Amino acid sequence: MPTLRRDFESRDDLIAHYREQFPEAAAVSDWVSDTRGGRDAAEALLDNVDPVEYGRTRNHLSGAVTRLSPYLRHGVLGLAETRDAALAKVDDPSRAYKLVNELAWRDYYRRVLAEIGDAVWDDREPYKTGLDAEDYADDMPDDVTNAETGNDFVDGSVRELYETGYLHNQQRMKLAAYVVHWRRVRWQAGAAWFLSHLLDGDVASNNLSWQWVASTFSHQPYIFNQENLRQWMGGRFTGDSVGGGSPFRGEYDEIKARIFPRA
Amino acid sequence: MNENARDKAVIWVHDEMLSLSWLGYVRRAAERTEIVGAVFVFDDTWVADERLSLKRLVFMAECLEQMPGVEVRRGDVVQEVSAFAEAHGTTRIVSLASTSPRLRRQGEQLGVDWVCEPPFVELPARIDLKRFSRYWGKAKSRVFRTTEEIMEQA
Repeated sequence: MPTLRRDFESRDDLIAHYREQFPEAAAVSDWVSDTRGGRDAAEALLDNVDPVEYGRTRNHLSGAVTRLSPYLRHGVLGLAETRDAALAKVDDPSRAYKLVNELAWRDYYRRVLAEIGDAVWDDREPYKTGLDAEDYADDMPDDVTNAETGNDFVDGSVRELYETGYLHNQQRMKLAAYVVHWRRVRWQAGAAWFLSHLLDGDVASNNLSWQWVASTFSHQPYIFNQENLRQWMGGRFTGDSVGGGSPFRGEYDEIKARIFPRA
Repeated sequence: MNENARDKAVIWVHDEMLSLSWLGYVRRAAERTEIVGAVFVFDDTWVADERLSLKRLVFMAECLEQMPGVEVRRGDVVQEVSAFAEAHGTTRIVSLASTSPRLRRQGEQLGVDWVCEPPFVELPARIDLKRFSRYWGKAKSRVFRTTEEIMEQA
């Protein structure tokens, strides 16, 4: 019977119905996010958006991020509508600059997707890492997907992805960089893994952001070091691994020499 | 196709329009057409291909809960939406335009009449999208306006 119920007595009732209908999705990951779907939740978040604080603090894990992305992805909120709401909160449009700029990234990625279609899964350009696409593994390493690398940032972020379906942008970029550059895995494997778990997963923003990190859609690879990681993580993650070492320790030149030996 | 079939349409609600406001928007855009139903289909192929986890399906289901009047199905999107339209005495299907290749392919197979959402920014055709900076160079002088202002200038 292809028609699904829509008369749920409670959230638990709804979850149980979908768990029963889609056992394969529950097998991928059985977690359910605290983030609620629906227009009411989206409007409540939109009411709380502070464009000025967003511009000032958004890179910090504890910053005034909007968490609107699942709602924008699924059209619960429109891009233009969200921009209008942001502009209405400031006396001068320039005070909403960063928020509108970030919404523009989403518009940009959608426009690129309209041009390239399914080629969003292909490298837009060669890697600028001194390595060829063939040098990268096709599959995600088990220790990463099982959150068993022993690194507090990597494992903590992976668990958060599974449990909430959301990661702060700094975590996304750094986790993607770890997968592609430190573990030398093709960005496509990482992008597909994110799509499984992110509430806001879509091939436009997700794949093209992975390509940006990988350097197949940018002039250079995105990397970071432990100092940079600690700057934005607000004490939640140190970047240390069990035993006290860290793959992210060192100056940028030292890290580049380690992970891009042929560059 | 008889005239009655052309005067009626159903709305295909897809995964990029999970708000009741789009139904009103599409309804207004499809003027002189009687909207006789709306349907969302959980796409079994998409769920399998992208290995979507339970939390995403729950999130979408919660969005749909706040969209009364939308029938929720699962299966093959083209087959289910066609059957829904047929059951409502029409072959005409309207929906919100998307840049997703998956949704575009399905829309093409269904012969969907697409309705475009309000523009985030109006840009010249064929702008250079090689880098965000090139897009932003064109967009930044036009995007800090409300939709109403953009529409007035269009």
